[in-house]
Amino acid sequence: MTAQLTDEQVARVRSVVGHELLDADLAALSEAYANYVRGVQQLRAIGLEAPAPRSFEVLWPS
Amino acid sequence: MSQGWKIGIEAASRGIQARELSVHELVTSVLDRLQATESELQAWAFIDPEAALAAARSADREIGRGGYRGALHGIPIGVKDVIDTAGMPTEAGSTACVGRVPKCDAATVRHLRTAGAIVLGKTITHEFAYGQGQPPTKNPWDPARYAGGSSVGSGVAVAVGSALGCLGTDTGGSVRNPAAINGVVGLRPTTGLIDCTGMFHLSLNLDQVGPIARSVTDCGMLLAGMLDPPVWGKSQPTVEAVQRPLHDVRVGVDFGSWRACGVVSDVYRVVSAALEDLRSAGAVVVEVSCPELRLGLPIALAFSLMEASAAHRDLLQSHGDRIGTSTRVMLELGLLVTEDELDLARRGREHVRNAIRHTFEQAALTALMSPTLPWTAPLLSDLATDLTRVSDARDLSDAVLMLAPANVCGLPGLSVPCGEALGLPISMHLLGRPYDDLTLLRLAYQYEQRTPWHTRHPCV
Repeated sequence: MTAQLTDEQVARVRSVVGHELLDADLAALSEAYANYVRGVQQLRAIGLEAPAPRSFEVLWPS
Repeated sequence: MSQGWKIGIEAASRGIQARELSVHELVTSVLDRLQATESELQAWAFIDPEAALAAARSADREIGRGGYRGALHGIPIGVKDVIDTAGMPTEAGSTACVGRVPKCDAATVRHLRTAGAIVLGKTITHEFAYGQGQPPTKNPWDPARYAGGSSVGSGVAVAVGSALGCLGTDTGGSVRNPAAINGVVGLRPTTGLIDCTGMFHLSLNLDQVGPIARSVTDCGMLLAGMLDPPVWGKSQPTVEAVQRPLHDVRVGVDFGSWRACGVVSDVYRVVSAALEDLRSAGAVVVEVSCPELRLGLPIALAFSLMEASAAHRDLLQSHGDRIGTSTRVMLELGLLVTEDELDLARRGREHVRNAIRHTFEQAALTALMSPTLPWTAPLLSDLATDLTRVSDARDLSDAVLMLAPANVCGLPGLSVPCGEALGLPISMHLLGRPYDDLTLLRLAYQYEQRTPWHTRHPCV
C-alpha cells in the first residue's frame, strides 16, 4: 500500500533535509506514511475525537 | 580460563564479598569470554579491556582495605551505545555520530559506577535505537536468525557471558525484545523511576533505561544500582526483597489480545504452560478482556515518530547522508505527523491507560501476563524491519504489539524466559502497576525458582 504525499508534505521534508528527495526515498517515505496513516485511522475509528472521560477514583499504587 | 563469566551477578557478588573471588579474576574471565565470542557474535561497539582491568585492580585494593561498597562492587557490565559514558565513545549505532565521546556519564551509569560496577564498554544498538536495519550482531542461538533489538548487543552479551549484566533502552520493547530473543531477563521500569538523563533519546514520552541480566535476582540487583536511592526508599530491589515470597497473586491473561497479536502455536503452548506453572505455584489466574492493549502500537508510533524527528532534526539536516536509509525515512516521516494526530495519540494514551487501570482494579490483578513476542526469532531472510507497518503482515511491528502498552502508559514490563521451541528461547511478559516493579520481580522470581529456563545458555 502506498499513499501519494501532497506537495506541501514533500516541501516540509525538503525544507528540513535541505535537498530534493530521490525517487527511491520518496517511494519509501510514501509507503511508510501510508502504513502510519493506517494506525491513525485505527485510533480515529474508536471515536477518540471527543475527550476521553477521566477517572480519578483509583489511585495507584494502592 | 576461569569460569567466572558463567556465574551470575548474585553469585559473583557473594564471592567478592566473601573474598573468595577477586574482582580481577572475575573481570579477566569475562574479558576472556568476550574475546572468545566477539568475532562470531559482534555484540560490542567498543571495549576498553585495559581500563576494565585497572578498575578491577583498584576495586580489589579498595575491598581489601575494607571499602566494600555493596552488591555491585566489581561486577562487569556493558552499556548500550545510546547511553553516555564519560571518555568512551557513544555513537548511537550511527556513522553520523562517529567520534562522539561524552564528557559525562549518564545518570544511570554514574549511579552504577558509584555502586562499584565496572563498565567494560558499549554494546551494539540499532541506529538511534530505532530498530530499523540490521546491525552486525548475531543471534547466539542461531546466527541465521534475528538477534533482537534495539538493545541487541546487550541481550547477546548477557546471554553468552561477555558481561554479567547490561543496560538497554526501551521505547517500544527494546529491552524486553532482545532479552526474550536471547533467553535472558529484561525490565522496562516504570516511567520516572530511573533518571534517564544522558541517554540519546528517541522519544521522551516512551524511553526508559532498563537492566538486562541472566536471572530475575540479577536484574533486580542491577536495577537497585541504577536508582537514585531516595526514589525507591525502603522498597529497593535488593536480593532479599526480590526473593521475599509473594502472596495473594492474581495474574490476568487476555487471550483475545494474544490472538490479535498473531501469537504462533509454539509460543501459545509454551506460555500457556508457564501460566499453569504460575497457577500451581499458588497464583490465581484470571481471564480478562482488554482490547485497548492493541492500540499501544499506533499510539507509540505517533509519539516516537514525531519526537525522534524533533530529537534528531539537527543531525538529519547536517548529516542526513550518513544516516541509514530506513532510519532516515522514519525521521522524515516524523516531520509529517501533525499536531492533530499527536493530540489523537494523547487521547488514545488516556483511553488505553484507563482501560488497563480498570482491568487491574476490577480483577484485582498483580500483573497482566502475555508472551513477550508472538514468535521465536525469525530467520533474517524472512524479516521485514519496517516499524511503520501497523497490521496484517508478519514483521517487526508484531514484536512491538505486546510491549508498547507499557511504554505508552509508563508501566513496568518484565520479560522472563519460560521455555523454548526448536531450540529457541521463548519468554513471558508481565505488565505491572506503576512503581510496582519490585512486585513483578518477586512474582517472576517465584516462577523462576520452579523452572530451569534461566539456566539454559546458548552453545557458543
